[in-house]
Amino acid sequence: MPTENDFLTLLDTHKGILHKISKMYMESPEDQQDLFQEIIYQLWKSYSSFSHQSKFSTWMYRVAVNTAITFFKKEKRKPLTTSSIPENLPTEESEAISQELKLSHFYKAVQQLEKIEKALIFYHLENYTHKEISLQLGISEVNARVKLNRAKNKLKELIKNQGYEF
Amino acid sequence: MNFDDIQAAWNQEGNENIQLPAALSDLKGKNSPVKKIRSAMRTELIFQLFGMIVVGFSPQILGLHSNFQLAFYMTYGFLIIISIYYLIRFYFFYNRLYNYTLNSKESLYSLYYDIKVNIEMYRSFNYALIPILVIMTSLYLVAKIPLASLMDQSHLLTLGVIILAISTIIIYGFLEFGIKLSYGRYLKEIGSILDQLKE
Repeated sequence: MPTENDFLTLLDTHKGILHKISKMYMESPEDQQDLFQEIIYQLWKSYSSFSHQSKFSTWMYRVAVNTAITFFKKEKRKPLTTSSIPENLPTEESEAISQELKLSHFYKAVQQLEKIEKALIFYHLENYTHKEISLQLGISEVNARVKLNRAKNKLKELIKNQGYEF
Repeated sequence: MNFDDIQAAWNQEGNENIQLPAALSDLKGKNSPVKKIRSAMRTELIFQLFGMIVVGFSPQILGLHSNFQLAFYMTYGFLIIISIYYLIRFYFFYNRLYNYTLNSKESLYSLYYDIKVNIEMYRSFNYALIPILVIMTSLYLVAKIPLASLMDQSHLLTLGVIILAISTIIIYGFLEFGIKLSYGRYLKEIGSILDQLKE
């Protein structure tokens, strides 16, 4: 029987990835925090069913992503109307931007994708192969490849629309 | 910027300021469709039980003549039997909802069809109550107003049909609005996710 402490210790090494998923799926920090907690809740709730036949991270990614794609943001919360990202940066400046700024642009763009497209981009960034992505999402390998390419092209266009060279 | 840049930034993103909850028991799960449907079902159960109690005491509250009370309580008995049957089914669904782990596409499909089936069952439950409520309303009308002396048999039949039609339209309107508000949008959301996964 897994104890709460064991689970939290295990989760501590993966908390960064859960936070990244929350940032991909939700726009406001409050919604991101809600989703982060929801993912932990769902992981803990289903931890007893984890069979240890697959890696913990593989199982955790699947539960976390499925929780994120079915999560609803709070309806009464005001949408973010202003962006902390500078618009239309000059090319020379864009070459020197920090990693943080790149990530800000990435998150802003990825939040506009469809829920499954976000999942595909997430697995891609976690270096999953098409085969592994297809197994995680329960789709065919060809479908995973086609959808991932579409999602990447869409993401590219969204980042370009933010004034970035891509 | 290209995907390699994004990948590099993604890999280097720190997690220093991320706090895990101190106690897992504090987490309730707030905005999942499962949680919202369960919450809507609990609220609805309270209203339904309250409604059934009020209907049960309505002959005393509204002063229904004792000649009509036997017919009323026989009809009320049907209402209770039908309600118990459906409420037990909903109770099983309510418990099943808690156990959905959403760890695979299959579990999403199961959840989707379980919600769909139960919405249909909810519809049939409410439509099954229409004739019972019409009979009860008619009993009150007949008891309070001497309809038989005011109109002939054919007009009484027309009146019955009109009451049935109006009740059906009103219940249909409330029912569909309620389903859309409390359950339908979650079903639609999960359906749209499953659509996105299609080839």
